[in-house]
Amino acid sequence: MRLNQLLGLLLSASVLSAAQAADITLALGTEPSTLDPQTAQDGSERAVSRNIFETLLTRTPAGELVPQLATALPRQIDATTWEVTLRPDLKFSDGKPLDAAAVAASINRIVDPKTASRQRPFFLGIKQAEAVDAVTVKVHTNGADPALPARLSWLTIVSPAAAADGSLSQKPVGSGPYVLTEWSKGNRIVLTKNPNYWNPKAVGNVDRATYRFVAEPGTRLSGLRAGDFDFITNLLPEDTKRVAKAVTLKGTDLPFVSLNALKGLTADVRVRQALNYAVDKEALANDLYGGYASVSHGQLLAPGWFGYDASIKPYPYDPKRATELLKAAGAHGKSIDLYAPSGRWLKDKELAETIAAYWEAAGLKVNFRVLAWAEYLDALNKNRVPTEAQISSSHSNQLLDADRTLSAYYAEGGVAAANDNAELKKLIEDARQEADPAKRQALYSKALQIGRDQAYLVFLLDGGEIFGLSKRVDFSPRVDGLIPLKDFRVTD
Amino acid sequence: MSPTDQGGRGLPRFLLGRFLQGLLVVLGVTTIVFVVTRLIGDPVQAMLPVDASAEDRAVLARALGMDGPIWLQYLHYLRDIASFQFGDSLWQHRPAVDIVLERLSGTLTLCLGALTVAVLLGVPLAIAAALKPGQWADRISVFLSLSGLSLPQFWLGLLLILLFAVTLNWLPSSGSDTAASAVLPIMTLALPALGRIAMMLRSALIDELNSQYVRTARAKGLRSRRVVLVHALRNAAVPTVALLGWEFAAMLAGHTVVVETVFAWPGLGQTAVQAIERQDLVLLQAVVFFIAFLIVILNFCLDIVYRVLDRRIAV
Repeated sequence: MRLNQLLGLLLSASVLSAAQAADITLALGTEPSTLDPQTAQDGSERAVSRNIFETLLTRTPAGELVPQLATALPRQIDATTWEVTLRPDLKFSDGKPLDAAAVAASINRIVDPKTASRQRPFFLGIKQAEAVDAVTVKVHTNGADPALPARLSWLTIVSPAAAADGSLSQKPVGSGPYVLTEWSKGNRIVLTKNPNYWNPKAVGNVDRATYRFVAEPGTRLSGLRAGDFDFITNLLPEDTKRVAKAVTLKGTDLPFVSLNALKGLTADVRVRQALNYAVDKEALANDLYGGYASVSHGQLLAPGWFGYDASIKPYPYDPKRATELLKAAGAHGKSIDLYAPSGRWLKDKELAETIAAYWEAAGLKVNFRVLAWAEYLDALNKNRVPTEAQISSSHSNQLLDADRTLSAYYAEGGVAAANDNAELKKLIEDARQEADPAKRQALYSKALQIGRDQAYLVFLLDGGEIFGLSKRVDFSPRVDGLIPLKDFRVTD
Repeated sequence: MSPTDQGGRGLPRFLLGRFLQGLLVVLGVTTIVFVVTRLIGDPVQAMLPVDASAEDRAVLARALGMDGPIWLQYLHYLRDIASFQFGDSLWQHRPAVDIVLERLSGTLTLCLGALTVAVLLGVPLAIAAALKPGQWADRISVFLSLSGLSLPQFWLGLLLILLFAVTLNWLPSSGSDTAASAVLPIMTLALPALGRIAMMLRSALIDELNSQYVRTARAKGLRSRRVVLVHALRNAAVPTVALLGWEFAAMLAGHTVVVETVFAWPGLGQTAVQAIERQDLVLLQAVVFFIAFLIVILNFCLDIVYRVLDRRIAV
C-alpha cells in the first residue's frame, strides 16, 4: 500500500514536472509569408506572430476588451482624439524600451499607404498617433470613431528599429510571451518562451512550440493521429470523431448569401424573404456541419461582437410561405443566378449547392455556378456595381465591432452591399459617430432589424473553424479567432 | 564505327543547335507563364480582405508595381529574367530567386532519390523477368507496373502515411526534419516510375534476347551473363534512358507537385501550388522558369548520353 502511494507520488511528480515544461507541435495549413504582423492579412501569420507581438488592448476569450500593453482602456479626449497610457518599463525582446514613441511609430506605420498593409481596411478610421510623454500616446481619428478601442485591440506594436531596417519580417522583435528561435523556411518555425516577458503569470506551460505547415487536410489528420502533432487547424466536421479532441467556437465565420436588392427578381422584398424562408438552416447546421455550426440570429454579427442583438429572430424554415411569397411577387418559375467559391471556406460549395436545391424546391430555377477564387473575387467586385447574381460568401470580423460589417454589407455604397435604403445607411453612419455605447447599440439593433426584415442577405449560420487536439493538450477557441500559445495547457 | 564519322565531326554544331532550341523553349515557356498568370486573376484582389474597397486595391496595385500597362510589365519581365532577376515574391516579400534556390534542393533530393530507388529495384526486376518470362519475377514486375500506373500518387501517398506513420508508427507522417522523413515521399514518387522502368526494360530485353546477334553470340559460346549484361542490356538501355529522362522531367514538372503537397515537403512543387493559391505571379514565374531551365539542361544531357550509347543518332 505504502509502495503504491510512493509510486503514485513519484508518478504525479513526474507528471507535474512534465507539465511545467512542455513542447508542442502545431500544424497549420500554410506557412506565414512574413512574421511582420503589420503587413499581411493571413491566419497562419497571425497564429505565429501574435505570440511574439502584443497589442495595446486585447480580448478575453469571450470577447471583452481589456488592457494589455495599456494600463486601461483608451480615454476619449474630444470627438477625434483618444489618449492611451502605457504600462511603464515595457521592453521589446531585444531589450529596447517599448515606449509611447514606439507605439506611435507602430500606429503610423500601419496606416501609411507606403507600408501597403493588407490590414489597412481595419484601420482606415485612424489618422495618426503621437507620443505625448514616455507612456502617453494620442491617437487622432479621421472622424468620430467609437470603434477605436476595438481597432487598437488588433493593431500590433512592433519594434521601430526592426521595422525601419526591414528585418522585422524575418527577425521579429516584439514584446510578447514568445520569441522566434528558428525559422527553417518551408519546414518549421520554432518559438520559445520569452524569459523576460512582463506578465509571466498569464502564460501557460508551453515552453517551446514548433509550427509545421501541412496543406493537405488528410496529412494533417494523419499527423495528429500518429502523434506527430498536438494541434491542427481546419479539421473537417466528418473527421472530428477520428481525433482525440475537436473544438470550435461558433460565430468566428458566418456563411451567408448576399442578395441584390437593386436589380432583377431580388429587387422585390418578397422574393428576398422567400429565399430566406426556403432554407432549412437547422438541417444545414446539423447535417452539413455535423453540429459544428448554429442558426444565425438573422444578422451578420455573432455573439460577443459589439452591436450583436440576440432578440432578432431568424427566418424560420417555411417552404410553403416561401412558395407563396414567390408566387405573390410573380417570381415563381423564374430563374436566378447563384455563384459560390469552392474550397475557400469550410464546405462552401456544398452549402451553396444545398441552398440552390432549397430555392429550386420553393419554385425557382437556379443557375448555380462554382467559381475559381479569382473569378469569384471578380464577380464579388462587380457585384459592388450591382449585377443580378446572388453570391454565397462567408464573413469574419476580427474587430468584433458592428461598424466594419454593417458598413460593408448593409449600408448603401458599402463595398459588398446592394440596396438603396437611406434610413439604414443613416443609422449605420450615426452609430459610427455615437460615443455612448448604449445609444450606439440601440442604433445597431434598429439597423439589424431593418436588414433582417428587408432580407438584404440570406442569413444562414454561425460557423467556425474546427481545431483538432491531441489528448495531452487543452485549448479553448476564442471569439477573436486567435490561437495564442499562452492559452494552451499541456497535461502530461 | 570510325571515330571520324558524321556524329563526331558534328558534335559542336549538334550541341549548339540543341542549346539554341533550349533557349527558345525557355523563352516560350516563360512567355506562356506571363500570359497565363495574368489570366488567372488579379493578385491585388486576392491579397486583400474580401470586403476591401476599390481605393485599397488601387493603393496596393501601385505599391506592387502592377498598375502599369501589360506590355510594359512584359518588357520589364523579359529584361529581368535575362539577368535572372525575378523580383520579390508578392507573398513572401523577398527575392523569388532565393525562394526557388532554397526549395530546389528539396525537389532534387526527392527526384534523384526516387529515380535511384526505381533503377536499383526496377533494373534487376526487369532482367529477372526478361530471363524467365511468366515466372514469379515477371509477375511481380507486371503487378508493380500496373499498380504504379493505376494508383494515383495522391492516394498512394495517403495510404503509405496511414500504414507507416499512423498504424505502424515507423516513419514521420510529413515534413523534412530527418532523413526518415524522405522515405515515404521517395517511395511514393518511385513506385510508379519503378513499374514503368521495369516494364519497358523487360520488353526491350526480351526483344534483344530474341534477336539474331544474341543468338549468334550464344552460339559462339559467349557466357550467358555477359551476353545479357553487356550486349543485350546496352542496346535495351537506349529506350530505358529515354524513359528515365522522361520520368525525371515528369517528376520535376508534375509528380512532385502532388507528392510534396501530400507530405508537406518543402520543394518547388509545393512552392508552385502555394504561389498559385496566393496568386503570387512573381514567384510562379520564377518556379516555372527554373523548372523549364532544368528540363532543357536535362534534355541536353540526355542527347549526349544517347550519342554515347548509340552513335547512330545524328544531328
